Amino acid sequence: MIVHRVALHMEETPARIEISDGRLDVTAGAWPDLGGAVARLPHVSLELETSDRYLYADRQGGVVLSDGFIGYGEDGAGRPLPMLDLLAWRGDDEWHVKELCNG
Amino acid sequence: MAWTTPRTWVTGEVVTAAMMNEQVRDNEDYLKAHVDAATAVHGLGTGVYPTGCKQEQLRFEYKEADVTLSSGTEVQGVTLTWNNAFTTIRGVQVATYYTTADYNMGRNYAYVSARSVTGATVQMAASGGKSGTFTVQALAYGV
Repeated sequence: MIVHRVALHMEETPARIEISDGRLDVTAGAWPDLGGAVARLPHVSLELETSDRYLYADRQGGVVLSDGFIGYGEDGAGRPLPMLDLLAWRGDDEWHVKELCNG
Repeated sequence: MAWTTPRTWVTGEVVTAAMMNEQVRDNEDYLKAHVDAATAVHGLGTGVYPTGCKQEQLRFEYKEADVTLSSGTEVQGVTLTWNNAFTTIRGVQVATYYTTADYNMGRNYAYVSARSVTGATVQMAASGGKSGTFTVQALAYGV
């Protein structure tokens, strides 16, 4: 697992993502959204399928696994997309995950 | 602490404590407060500096990553993450860096396929350009 750290200042405890031995564990917590809003990610623990390549946070308060790329964040005009952010993605042979560092 | 216009001193003038306090102490306090305010912009990490104008102070992040294409018709994407998350992202500009002059590079087109406050995904389009390893450079700006 390759970790990509992103620093930010947030009052809430950030959500944490871990992928190890084909297993996904999301520790419930906050995730930054557009305009300073904060979304909350649920606790998730499951076995990944070999076809899973992308892990997203959606705006319904859940996480979404996908074998294909889905646009996320905002549409270029500041309008929010259904997928709030990309949390993790699979490279050639390893998963990459975003890690929020409060500071 | 208010700013006082510096006095023009004249020969033989008697300088009082009140004049020194106003002209030196108070004016230096005023200037020091402004220097401190400029370096204490909320939310910026070490090595991150604001630029911009009166209406909105934009912050910039630069990231790059290598992308290898086995053929000119292969689609390859790379996801980049910002060092410091944005509150609102205004835009991401991308360029493709390649060290050799080659007319086929004109078809190696990189574009932003998604962006968020924590990062962006850049795709190399399958537009029939060169194969090889390219450096995708992304400059993001926002607040």
